[in-house]
Amino acid sequence: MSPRNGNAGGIALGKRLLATTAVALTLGLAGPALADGSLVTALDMGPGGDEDSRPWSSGAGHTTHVKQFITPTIFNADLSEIVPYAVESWESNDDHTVWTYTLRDGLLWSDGTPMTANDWAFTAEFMTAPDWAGDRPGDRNLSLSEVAGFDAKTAGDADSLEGIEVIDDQTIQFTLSAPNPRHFASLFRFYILPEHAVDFEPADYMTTDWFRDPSRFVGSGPFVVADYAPDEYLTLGANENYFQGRPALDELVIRYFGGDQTAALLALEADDIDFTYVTETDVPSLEDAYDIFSNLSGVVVMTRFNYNLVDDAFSDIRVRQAILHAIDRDAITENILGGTYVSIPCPIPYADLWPQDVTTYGYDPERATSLLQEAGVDPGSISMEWVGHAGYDNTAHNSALQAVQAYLSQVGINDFSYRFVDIPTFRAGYSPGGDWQDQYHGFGVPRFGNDVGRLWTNAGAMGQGLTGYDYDADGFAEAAAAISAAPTIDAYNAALGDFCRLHAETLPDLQMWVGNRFGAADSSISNFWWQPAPAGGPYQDNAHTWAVQ
Amino acid sequence: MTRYIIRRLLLAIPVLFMLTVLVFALIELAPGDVVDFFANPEVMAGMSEADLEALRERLGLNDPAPVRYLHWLGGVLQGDFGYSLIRSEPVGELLLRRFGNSMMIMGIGLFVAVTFGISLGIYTALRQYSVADFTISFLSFVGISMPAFIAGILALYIFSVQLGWFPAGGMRSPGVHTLGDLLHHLVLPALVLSIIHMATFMRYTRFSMLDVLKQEYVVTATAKGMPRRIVVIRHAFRNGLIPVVTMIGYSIPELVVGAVFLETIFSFPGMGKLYFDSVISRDFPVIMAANLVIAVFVLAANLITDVAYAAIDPRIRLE
Amino acid sequence: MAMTEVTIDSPARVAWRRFRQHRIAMVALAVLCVIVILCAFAPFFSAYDPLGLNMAAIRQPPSAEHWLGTDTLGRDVWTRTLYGGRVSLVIGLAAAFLSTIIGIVLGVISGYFGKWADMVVMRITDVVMAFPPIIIMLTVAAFTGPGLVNVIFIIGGLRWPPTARLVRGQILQLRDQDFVTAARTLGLTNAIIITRHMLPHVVAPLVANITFAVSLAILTEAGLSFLGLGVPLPTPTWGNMMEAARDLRIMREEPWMWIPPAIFTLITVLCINFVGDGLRDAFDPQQLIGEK
Repeated sequence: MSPRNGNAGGIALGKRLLATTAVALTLGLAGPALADGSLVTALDMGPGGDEDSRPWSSGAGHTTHVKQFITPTIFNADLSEIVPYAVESWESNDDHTVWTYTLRDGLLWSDGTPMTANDWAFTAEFMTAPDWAGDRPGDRNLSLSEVAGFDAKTAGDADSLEGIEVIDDQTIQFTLSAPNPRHFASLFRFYILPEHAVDFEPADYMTTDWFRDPSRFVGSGPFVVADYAPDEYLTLGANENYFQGRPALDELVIRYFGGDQTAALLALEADDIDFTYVTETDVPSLEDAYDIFSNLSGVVVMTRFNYNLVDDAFSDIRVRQAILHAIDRDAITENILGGTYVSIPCPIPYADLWPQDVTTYGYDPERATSLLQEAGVDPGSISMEWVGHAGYDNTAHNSALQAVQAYLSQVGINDFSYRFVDIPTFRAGYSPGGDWQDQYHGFGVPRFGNDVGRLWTNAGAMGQGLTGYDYDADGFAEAAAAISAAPTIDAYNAALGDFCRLHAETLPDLQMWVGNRFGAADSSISNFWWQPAPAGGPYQDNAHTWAVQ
Repeated sequence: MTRYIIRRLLLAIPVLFMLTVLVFALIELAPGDVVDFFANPEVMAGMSEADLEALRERLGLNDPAPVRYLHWLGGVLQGDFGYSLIRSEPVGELLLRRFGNSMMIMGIGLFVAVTFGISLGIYTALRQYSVADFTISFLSFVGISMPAFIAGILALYIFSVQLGWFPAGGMRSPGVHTLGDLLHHLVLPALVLSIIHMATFMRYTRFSMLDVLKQEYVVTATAKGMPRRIVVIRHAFRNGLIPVVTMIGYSIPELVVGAVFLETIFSFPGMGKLYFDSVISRDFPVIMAANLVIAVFVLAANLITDVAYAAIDPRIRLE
Repeated sequence: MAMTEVTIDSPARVAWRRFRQHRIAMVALAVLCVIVILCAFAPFFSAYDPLGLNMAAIRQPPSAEHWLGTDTLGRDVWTRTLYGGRVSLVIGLAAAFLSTIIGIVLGVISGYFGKWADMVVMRITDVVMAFPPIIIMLTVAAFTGPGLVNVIFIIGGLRWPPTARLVRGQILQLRDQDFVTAARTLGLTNAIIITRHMLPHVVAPLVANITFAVSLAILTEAGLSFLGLGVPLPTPTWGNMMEAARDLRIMREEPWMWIPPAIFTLITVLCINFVGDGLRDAFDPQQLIGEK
């Protein structure tokens, strides 16, 4: 045997290949860098992001929308209040059914055309056209569904929206079909579109290139569309006519990562991008090198027991109390969720709003066992399968749920399992009539938003069980109505406190914990501001002042 | 031969038809639809059941399944693949772009995997049980003993974050449209892809070469005093290649849509990620069209393999 | 070597004798046995409960107490690696076995009988090959929920096409060779011709195939969990333990959580491969014992 020469061909080929690779490398390294004054971010990462979405038809992504368009009102920087943005002032009549808004002086579109109240009215009519094709009408409903004549207009029974009247170039009047003491808070996702530049029909809303085409796009925010590569990035250029002044940045690039946080984090650490959303477990290793942005996200991560729909075992409140007592939620939030989560007594995520006398169910396995005995329920007969929302399928929540399982088995509840599923599967089993007993997912509760009060009612645009809050216990409708009707922040917060107390007493579902969300930014960016807002805000981030050194 | 090929092409029609029916049925059976995806309970605040119903009506999701299938089929026969339900983009354009992206990375990856795999396979076959054989075998098995996602993270962590040799994912630097920049982005994911698949080609080549080297005609050729190198290249290599060709054919669908985790970690907009995203959002026009494209590739690869069998080994008759 | 003995012994004994001479294969077999014993009798080799969490010992590096450290819930990684091996080995071997059996049967039918059988089997193969598995997994998950058996059937049931095509290809090559024609002339039944005279030639490519099928099944199981179809946590598997490295912090700062299952998978796959090498040589019809 003389096999020595047999491999000559293969090795020669290999060498040629290596040479090709080397050439490719050299070429690549010589590629031009980005212009100065350019900031590359992953703004559309995390639960508040929605790549390739357009305003008025997205479940998230407002961090990007608000760079391109201004809204009448907006959340302030720390999400505690809704403040004027495109408007200068507002007033309402005594019963809060007629609201008059005055636009700021001298607002211009990015092409230099003045912005008037007619643009505002045009946008309202456009979005309520019966054939408007937006596939996620949530923001449309939030902004316009309480305006008189909304139903007639969207159904095609009326030519125009009865409740909207342009008084003059800077003044517009809204007539509502029901009183709303905080109507201005309904307008924070009302992205005004330019009447003179919109060259597509409502029916083409989803298919038009207008929102991504630099030659057609006209906006009013600090930035305008400059370049777009689908699935790769969106480059925004400075809007010279932005009313707060031309942005310090020449370019704001939004890189897309297909929703994968590990990929975005690696890009951050490789210095390819300057900012991204990060998960709680990454924070400790990033703290030293990066500016960390976080706040209580206002997202309650909770499970809900459909006890009134599916399983009789949970109809006894003592069983539900026993389950809360059996799980050491403080140990889980502290040790497993890295101290970035805290356990909560009710679906109000803000500790300062919890009433002093709210019932909390601390870790007490003996109490859990005795409660189960009192209820006459054999823990071995309880069967639970928690179905998790895919958005939480990460190390931290997998660990937390395995801990829940271990705690439950300590009181004899051995038949517990969990799994994470994709969104359609989750939704299909989730809605009323769906066949799943328990869900594990989160929900955004803004500190002061118009929609909060309506989350928990069975009627109206927000209710009908779609959010999961189809509480039918006594008193919930009244408590939710009180939140909606609160005329001031203080009254609103007090109503939230009452709701919290009622929830903790009746336990229509079991609230687990609420977590911080985080963003990490390169410290070379100055004036940068980011908040992990539910669905991305929008909030005042003063992007026109952001700068890179 | 020509008749055989024509017959196979004609047979492809019922196969493709059956496939689309099956895929459509599976999408139907999967829980939820695209409207459920839009109504993501995490972020949907503000949509009512009536909105969802109106959306279903507008997207035609309320029609009976057979009607929707025939509607889709009618469109495809006229060259219209419809619009993506979640991306609001014509499916044809979307697939063309994503498929092109995938082909770049798969092309490089497959080429490297096949050339190195076959070369090393022959090398190890000729030096069976040598130290080199064990070392190469061991290294190649590291590649297939690790999830692609982890291999990708490790590669990115070492070569992008620590060494800074390559960009950390993506396909191009924003605003840069040069070939050099593109290749710079492609090298790392393509190499990881090829390492994952190289072991397959290597081992098949090795086994099949070992087998062929013992066949009578090879032994005879060697006995007749033909130089070893010539024997290997002219006889053994050609015949030993058959199983390898089969595996290349089989690798194509895996490379096209199986690279989802690799594309994810490299934030590379390819077919795998598109297919995966479409499935988890029930974007059926994209799923159907992507399946059709994949199927055409698989059928073509299988046909080529079968013809290659006959070409390499004249004893096989095509019938 | 004494050729006379060989002709007297049964083929299995001959194969075993040949195999025993294959040093690497014997070592690999021994290592494989060790791994199987470690996993099968895990309770004897570890003092910890694979599911028992310990809040006081979370994310601890390897120590005398915990040889391979602890995971995010304070569970002993060595213990979980052993218990994980039980599930992963079962999945890997069963799925590989299933796909190989289906592949051989269909490949033989297709290659040996040809004509209509070939046409039908190969078109079915085309359809299965063109099916990206994720869509089937999703649908099955919705109806049956997650579980070990489902994982085996899904992986095994979708992995057979390359085996079938490989077997078919080999059979096609052999079908018209002299010794097969001779066997047919002698009036031997199809079953005997196939099992005695043709299948031994197919072993070589199959060994490679089985090796890959095992590692692929172990890794695929982890991927399935994303769709809610993997073996549900907290049951450890090598796959889902390795998947922990998706978390960047674990990947670089706490490698003891994912490297042990990765090494076990690698060693298992390597050993199976070397054992396969040995088997290939042992069953090789042309291999002469005295040659080496």
